Amino acid sequence: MSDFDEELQAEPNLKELISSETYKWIFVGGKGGVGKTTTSSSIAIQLATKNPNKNYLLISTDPAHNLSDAFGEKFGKDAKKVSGLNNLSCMEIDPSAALKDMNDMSVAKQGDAEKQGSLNDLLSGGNGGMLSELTGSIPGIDEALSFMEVLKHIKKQSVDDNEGSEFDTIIFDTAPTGHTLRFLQLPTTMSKLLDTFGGLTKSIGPMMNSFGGLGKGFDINAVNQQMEELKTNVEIIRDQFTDPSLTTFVCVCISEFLSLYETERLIQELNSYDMDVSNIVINQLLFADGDDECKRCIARWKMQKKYLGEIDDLYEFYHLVKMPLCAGEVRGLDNLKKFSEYLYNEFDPVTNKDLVFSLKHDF
Amino acid sequence: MESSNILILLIALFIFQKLNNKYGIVTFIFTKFVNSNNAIHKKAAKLNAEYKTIKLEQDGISAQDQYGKWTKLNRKLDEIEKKKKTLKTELDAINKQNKENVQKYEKFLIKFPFMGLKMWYGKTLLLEFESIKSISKVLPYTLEQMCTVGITGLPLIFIKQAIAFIRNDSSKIAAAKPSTGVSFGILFYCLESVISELFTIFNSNVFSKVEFPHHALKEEFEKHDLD
Repeated sequence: MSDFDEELQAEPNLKELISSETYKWIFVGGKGGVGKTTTSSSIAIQLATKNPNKNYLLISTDPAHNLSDAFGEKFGKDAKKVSGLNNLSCMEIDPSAALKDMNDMSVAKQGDAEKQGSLNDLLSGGNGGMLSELTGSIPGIDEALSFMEVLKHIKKQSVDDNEGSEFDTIIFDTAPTGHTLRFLQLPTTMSKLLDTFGGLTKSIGPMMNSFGGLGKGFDINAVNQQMEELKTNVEIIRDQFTDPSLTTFVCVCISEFLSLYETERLIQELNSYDMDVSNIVINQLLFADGDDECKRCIARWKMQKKYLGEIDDLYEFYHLVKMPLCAGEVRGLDNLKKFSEYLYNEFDPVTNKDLVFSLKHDF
Repeated sequence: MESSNILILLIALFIFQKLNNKYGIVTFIFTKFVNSNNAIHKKAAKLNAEYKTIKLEQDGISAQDQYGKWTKLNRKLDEIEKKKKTLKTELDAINKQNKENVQKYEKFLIKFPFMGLKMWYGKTLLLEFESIKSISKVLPYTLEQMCTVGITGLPLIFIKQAIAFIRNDSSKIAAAKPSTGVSFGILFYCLESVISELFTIFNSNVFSKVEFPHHALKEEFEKHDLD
């Protein structure tokens, strides 16, 4: 290999990502069960430990949340600091709780007098209201709520531009591929939707105003203004998501056909959205060379090696991080810290063999 | 122009118009000879051929056994799909333009000449009744003339008669009063009506879709089921 080729070859670790000063959004995604939560938690821990002056937020957008399990402490819909790491906070987006909050807010705004209406009772009254029951089961509501969370942070950034926002980088522990792609499509979809809505309100707005609005408290101009604001924020998100210096996507997979197939699909889709993907974490590798006596491990490692060869060939300019399958579960801050070290310094199956059996199980 | 020539020309245009409506002759000629040189069509055809070759190669290997090769071929297919999508947008624009051009050519080659000839020579009599005694008393004069030259030819007769009357030229008044017969206009009006009627009868009786008798099948099924 020539010196030039060696220079082009990407390092097999996430050093570049962890040391980067510019990233605002880091997405971690892949097929279900490949170790997305472990990887995203490990990345967040590495970022927090290597950059102690910065604040990080790890958000789980997966409807089946695992962050609390991974860290061994309870996280909720509000950002909560991880015990033992002052500059890392975690949160799990809960669609039903967020919808209930929104519902409560709208009821409070409308006032007690209007609350008596039968339709309003039907929508907001009772056990959480029919509206929240209905909206909670809408497909894609998790993605929409995650997107709203992003919007909230964008708003904060624009308000606190001088002081800097609360978090420097936000890491997303995303849901399996399909959900994530839907989530990432949202800025474009919303932008189109808002354009259409803008056109509609421009044409029917004057007519509605002349009728005196649709009822008490409805002001078409205020709606227009809010829509414009939302559109601006959505466009900011779209620009930020497609800026490779601000946003990147870390693909997580295991060395098996279906996982690789889905990773390839994910990468192609992300490229079509103009999103940066330059890191792939390959989890659960057995490294059963040498004196390993487990026949099943040797056979499986042989299969994994075959696919690893294909990965090296297909993604030669990507940072391909190969992580081992540990004997125990990678849970709890200490274990995650230990494990995450090998995202920064590549794992060597010979010299770092201890990691596989050294994880504690007393969390 | 001789009446026989006008008749041949009108019949030729009439037949060509009907055939073109049915088989799209102008569109075929235009796409075959004008558009065959279109670079985008050639490019699309080349891409389709390339896609087929790669797809065949990809179908011939196992994705699991040769994942790398299979994925590389898949990427090539995606690339071609993307190019095809871009080409399709361009092709759609060209096809739209072609359709407009074809419509324009059809108008200038068939529709307008046919209409022009029909209007200009429409009142020219093709058949003339030498003796009008038997029919002259049946219909009023105006209706008789309408049957001869058509409804559009009527005002012209009266205008000509009015001008001759104002000029006090009795010979011209008599000349302006046409004899009774069948004009080109009336002939083609009748021809079109008869042909369209024939087409309707033919299409509705010969090419009409016969619904599958579901009820009969259901009865049959139930009968067998009971047995």
